[in-house]
Amino acid sequence: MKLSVTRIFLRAVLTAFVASLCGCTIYSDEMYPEDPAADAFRSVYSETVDRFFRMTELCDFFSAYQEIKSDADAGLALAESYFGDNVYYLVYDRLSVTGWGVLGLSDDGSFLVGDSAVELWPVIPVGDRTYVSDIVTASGSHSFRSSVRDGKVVLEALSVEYVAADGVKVSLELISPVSRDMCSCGQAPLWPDAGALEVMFSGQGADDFFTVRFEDGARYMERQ
Amino acid sequence: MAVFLAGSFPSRASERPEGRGGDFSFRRYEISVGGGVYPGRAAFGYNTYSGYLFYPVGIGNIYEASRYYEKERTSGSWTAAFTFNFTKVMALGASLSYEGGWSGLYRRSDGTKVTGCADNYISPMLTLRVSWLNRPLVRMYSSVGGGVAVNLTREATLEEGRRLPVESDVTFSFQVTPIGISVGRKLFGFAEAGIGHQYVGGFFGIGYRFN
Repeated sequence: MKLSVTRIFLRAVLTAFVASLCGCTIYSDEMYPEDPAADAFRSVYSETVDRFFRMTELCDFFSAYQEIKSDADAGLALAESYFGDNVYYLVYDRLSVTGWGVLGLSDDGSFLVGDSAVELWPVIPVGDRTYVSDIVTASGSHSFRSSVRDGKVVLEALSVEYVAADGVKVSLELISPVSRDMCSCGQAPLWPDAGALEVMFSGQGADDFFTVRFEDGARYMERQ
Repeated sequence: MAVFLAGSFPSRASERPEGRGGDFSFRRYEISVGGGVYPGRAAFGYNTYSGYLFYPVGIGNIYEASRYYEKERTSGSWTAAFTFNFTKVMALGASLSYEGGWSGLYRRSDGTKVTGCADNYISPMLTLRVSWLNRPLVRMYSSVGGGVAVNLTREATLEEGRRLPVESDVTFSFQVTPIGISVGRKLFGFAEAGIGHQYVGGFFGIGYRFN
């Protein structure tokens, strides 16, 4: 059979046309996540564990800064070694770092730390680069004990219990110390590289209980 | 499809198309139909997202959303066009396109449809085409078109037996085709590659030229 160029092209185009016709109803199933725990934990993590890491770093810097605060250049150099270019302002008794939060020095030597000046939590330096905090707010209670050891921020104790904005009760308990690399020049890992947490959600249809184990930046969620 | 292809053009071994290798034959008018892969409105996103049921995002809604799944489908994009050739190079076309999209939210436990939404677009468009290669059999061109799209969106909350009224909206519509090729004389097939509200990717069709 002798085929002209036109016939060959028409056949190819009509093939595509009929293929389009046959596929004219394209189905694409979009499945919501099978296990919502991962998404739910991610939202809780930034408000608790990650916040405690950042608060510790702010306190650790400001503790060291107190020794050299009369030397403005040395103080700024120290701040940049922790937070890079993210230091918004630094004075004798106040600090603001973009992405970390704000810190103020109380008369009793403790720190008032928070994501912003709207809500500040007291954090007490107890020596040897160790910090404790025990807060009771309108929504619940948050307590932790953290330290800086060998270039790592370690949460040695942690207990969190609060009611989220949508009415879900959130509880976190430490199974083993949770740690991540200390911030350096404004860089810090988001997730811990060691430790484990127990997580419980209750109410509003979100009843769940599981553990989260951290290993080298990965998270492993397990249910009993 | 194989049967369709085999039977479309019966062979006539002795046929020799008239004017083969001859001069370019200018015909004033063209009509054509075609379908796009991937449909343009689907590529840019329909207004059928049911996830709004799970806003604001919170732990409770994260768990609630996990109890449902969403299924989406599209009719594809289909266009009928009439083109007026001013010259061998310049042409102006008027086209009418249709594309429809549907999505439904289903309860994972029993497959019950909770809500459904439909998005239908009727798009008239004017297209300016420049043919930069004109041979007796093969033409290559580029085009740009603009118009409007009348969007009819309908949403129904089936569990409550409530059907919301049809909402209509008129939006801007465009299509840019950097390269297209047609093969044939009076009856021709064409294939295009472009981006816009008619299609994103390829467009295939057939047409007929006449005076």
